[in-house]
Amino acid sequence: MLKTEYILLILGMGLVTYIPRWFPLFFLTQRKIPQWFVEWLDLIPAAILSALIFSDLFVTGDPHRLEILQLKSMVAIPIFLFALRTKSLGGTVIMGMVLFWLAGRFFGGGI
Amino acid sequence: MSSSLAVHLHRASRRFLSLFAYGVTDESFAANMVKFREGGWQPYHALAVNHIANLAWIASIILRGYGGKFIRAGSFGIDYALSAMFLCLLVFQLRGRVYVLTAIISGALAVVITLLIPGNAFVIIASLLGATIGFVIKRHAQNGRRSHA
Repeated sequence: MLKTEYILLILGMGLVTYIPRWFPLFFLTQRKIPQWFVEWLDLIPAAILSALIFSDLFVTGDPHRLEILQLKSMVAIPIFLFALRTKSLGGTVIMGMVLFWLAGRFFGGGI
Repeated sequence: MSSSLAVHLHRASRRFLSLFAYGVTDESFAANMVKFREGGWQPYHALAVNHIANLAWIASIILRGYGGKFIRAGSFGIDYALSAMFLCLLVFQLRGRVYVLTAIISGALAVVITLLIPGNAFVIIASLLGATIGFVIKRHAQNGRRSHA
């Protein structure tokens, strides 16, 4: 039946995304982690976030193409400085939305 | 991400970890890493963050199902909310030169890789490479300082 196939598909997808989250937690908390690995892991958050942000700001379209100067990346400069100064997550999100919205009204779609 | 979190969850039980793993997302991960570093953040705090975020996500999807049509796509700069949030989460991570360097290398790699291959694999490849290069540079700088001393 179609319905059970769907449910199985969803459960399967859930499992596939669950295991990579669970596996490192489960095994790395059971043993002593070597110092070099701790230092390396310490750099991972900055690396992941940056990878997500850079691709979000400088790449558009499907298939992907490079677009350094676009509304998103231009707005990111003041927002980055705002985040540096205030260290406020909520404030940065609201400022980002407001600035992006205003910039969109003034400059239209592109710069 | 789970590996980085493991450093802070050393004394947690297996049951706890299995429950915890379900809620690991980009967003909850970044929020929890900041809090763990500040200190005083217990594993069950992190667990609460994971599951509240998850429930809020599910609730918003339901809400969108009912009320989504009343909000025009892209209004009020809503498209930028995620970008701004990640930007701020990145700022929280930049606690020294090594972190800034790692972020720049990883970001640049991500852009290059995503132009070359489709899909989302670029995030993993770029961040693993970026962190490794950052780590090598850090070790190199430390050794240099030691040999000069």
